[in-house]
Amino acid sequence: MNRGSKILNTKVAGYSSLITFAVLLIAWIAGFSSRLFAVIRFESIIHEFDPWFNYRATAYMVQHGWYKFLNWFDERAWYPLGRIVGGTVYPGLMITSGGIHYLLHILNIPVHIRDICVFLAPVFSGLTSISTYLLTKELWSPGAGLFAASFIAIVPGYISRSVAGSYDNEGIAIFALQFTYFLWVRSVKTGSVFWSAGAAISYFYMVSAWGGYVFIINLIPLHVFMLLIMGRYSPRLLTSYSTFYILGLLFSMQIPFVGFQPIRTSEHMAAMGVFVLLMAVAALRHLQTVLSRNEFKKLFIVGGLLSAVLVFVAVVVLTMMGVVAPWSGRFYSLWDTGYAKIHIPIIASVSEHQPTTWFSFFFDLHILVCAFPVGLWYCVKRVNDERVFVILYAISAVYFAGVMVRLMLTLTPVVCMLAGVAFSGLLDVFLQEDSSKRLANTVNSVQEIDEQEESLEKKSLYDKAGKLRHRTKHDPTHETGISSNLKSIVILAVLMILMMFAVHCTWVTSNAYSSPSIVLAFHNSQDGSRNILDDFREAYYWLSQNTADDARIMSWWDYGYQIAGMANRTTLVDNNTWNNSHIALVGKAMSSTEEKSYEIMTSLDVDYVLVIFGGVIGYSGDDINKFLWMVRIAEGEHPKDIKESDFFTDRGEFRVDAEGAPALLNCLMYKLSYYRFGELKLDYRGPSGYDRTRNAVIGNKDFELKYLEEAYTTEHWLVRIYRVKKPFEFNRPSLKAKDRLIPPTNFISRKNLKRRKGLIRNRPMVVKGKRTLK
Amino acid sequence: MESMHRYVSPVNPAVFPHLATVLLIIGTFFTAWFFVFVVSRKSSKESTLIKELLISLCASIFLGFGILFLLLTVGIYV
Repeated sequence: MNRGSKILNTKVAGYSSLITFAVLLIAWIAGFSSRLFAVIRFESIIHEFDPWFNYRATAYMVQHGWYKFLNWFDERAWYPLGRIVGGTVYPGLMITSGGIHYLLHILNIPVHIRDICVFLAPVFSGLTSISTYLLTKELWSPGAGLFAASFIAIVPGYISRSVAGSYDNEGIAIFALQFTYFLWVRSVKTGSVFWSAGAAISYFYMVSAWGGYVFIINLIPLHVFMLLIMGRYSPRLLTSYSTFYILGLLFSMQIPFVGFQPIRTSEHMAAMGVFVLLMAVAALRHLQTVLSRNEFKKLFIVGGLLSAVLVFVAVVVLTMMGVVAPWSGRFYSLWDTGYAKIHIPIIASVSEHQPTTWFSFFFDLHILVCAFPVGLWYCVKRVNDERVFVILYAISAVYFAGVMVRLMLTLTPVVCMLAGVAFSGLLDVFLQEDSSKRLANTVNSVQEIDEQEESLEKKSLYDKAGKLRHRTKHDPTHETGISSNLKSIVILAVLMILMMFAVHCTWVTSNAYSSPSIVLAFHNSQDGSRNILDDFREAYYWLSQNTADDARIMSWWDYGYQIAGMANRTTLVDNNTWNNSHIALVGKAMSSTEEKSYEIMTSLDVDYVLVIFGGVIGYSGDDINKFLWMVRIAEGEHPKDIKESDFFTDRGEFRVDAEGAPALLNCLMYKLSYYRFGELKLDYRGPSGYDRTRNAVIGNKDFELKYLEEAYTTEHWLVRIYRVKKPFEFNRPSLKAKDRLIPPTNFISRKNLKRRKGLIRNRPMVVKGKRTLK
Repeated sequence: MESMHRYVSPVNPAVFPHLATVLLIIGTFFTAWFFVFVVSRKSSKESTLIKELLISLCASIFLGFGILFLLLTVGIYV
């Protein structure tokens, strides 16, 4: 009997590990392929803005080597300041793809670095789902882990940052985040130095990859702190946290961009405080064993008070002395959502720093957002050391995701994990072992719809045999009283929901998150054909071919990385918004009159000005729509010259038609956007100069540019490039050719009415039917 | 040039997709069997080397030919 069950157990273990493997493999493949929409629809291309910088830096590193990259001073950005790239970048992304490139070339597989960059994020999404599986398995059960892994493989909240071509830090950082948490939970569970050292190494990778590492270094201390408060102190905790903190601190300081921040900025102080606290608790514990009860009590109160005061005073004094830097603006805006809007317009101007709307939770997470509180409840109900961690993770991530749209990304993994716990708990109840034989058949026949959920389902079935004994507390309450009919109905409903989730994920990925945004596509409503607008690349290519190599191009900061990456020209400001006053200067130039901005432009040696104008095709992300942010940022630095209220009408409206504010109708950005637009008739019936984006006829139609001249406008007018005239060009009187005393040239054309063709000398005459004479 | 013959595949190209599917399914089955067999083996008491080798040989042959025909089907002429 005993032997028989043993054989059965090993057999079950074999099948369950096979299924685990298969599910993870399928999750990886499904996650990879659902991220390929952009590549299939457009081409293998780097997307958006920041990825262009990452790509450029990676290409530089591959070409010149690691040490050159570390010392790279980029004189083509932030003219005339330049940028020390090696010291102001998180190099993990570049090292990862550079390493893959190196490895493949050693194996004689010649892959272009661009393709590695494009496909890096989809490949890493598979690793993310595996590490999510491991983490959830540590926290709950392998079945929940498989659910979580499959969820995170296709959930839109994560896909939004990791589609093919979106070559950004977040793509690999979420993997590092989940893996660090897995190792941390493992080390808290086991109390072994090995796992906590592993967590520190994984944390090092995370620090090198993304600024979001601050989330880890605050969440883990919070976990330790909560455990201390709950009275769950144990030597395991002491070992794991002290190892992790010391090693992690030393490792994180190796990244040049982070440097001494971990011991000098307020964001990292919590970790240090918890470390000290943990040491104090451990010391007290030790003293408790040595001293008598009364002595200990006295010592505890006096010592506790003294040390608390001492620590507080030390932190305050250090902050006052400037050793510890106060919180940075981005962190203030996490606590006070209105802070950025008032104080730092440049942070508020980025759309992904806005608060999240409720429907974007549903849009990005679908059913998971409903199942997630259930999983949280399960964890609270059956709390232990590591579930405290996931509870804290969930609560803090929900808060941050509510504050900033872009932090939705950190919420997504924990939602997947807890939803996995919830679904696994649900199926535990409704797929009981005793009556599951018949059910399993019906369930399996239904499951052919979706292979992923099918394998998940099987997993939780097989999982039962081994795991059933652990849940005896929970089972008897539900086992009786649920008829098999009810069970099958519930299971069908759950499967339908999961299927709809998969459909929703694919739909969202395909429609919302798979556009490269440098190539636009729109569907013609009449014949349903698909048109591609390639204006951005057209303009950048023009820049790279027709301007001097050292030409300096002024544009709003959004396009800085793209100009540098695609046109390879010097920009004034770019998406690395480290210098607010420089950006404000550009904003001032854009929002002043032509004359005033010419002074700024000559002082900055600007050769070309590039504006994005969507009025012809109705593209809403153009510079006129962003214009108010330029004004606000400029006003922040130059309050005397630029006033936001000047750009509104008396009734407080921002409009570009004839009723618009005069300051707006005469500013440089307006003129550059609408130069000669008044002559353009988009529609036979409509008026000329009709702006499709803002649905208005423009107010200032007839004007000439004095200090600039139009250099290039792309096919759909999306990008317009102007050349800044040199000082001697515009104030020189121009004479018409016939008024000149000396005719410009003595060349007389040989073309007349009869002979219109040009001719080439020594060209062989071709007579039909005869050989040409040589 | 005249003396050379045009190359004709020994297998009719029309059956490539079916062949690929069948071979891959059989290969996957053997792989799964091998996986379960190895994982669920208790200890090294029994000598199962011959059996393991046989299963893995079958799996690798079927998978290898399956992948070959898969590549031929999609137009990668190896």
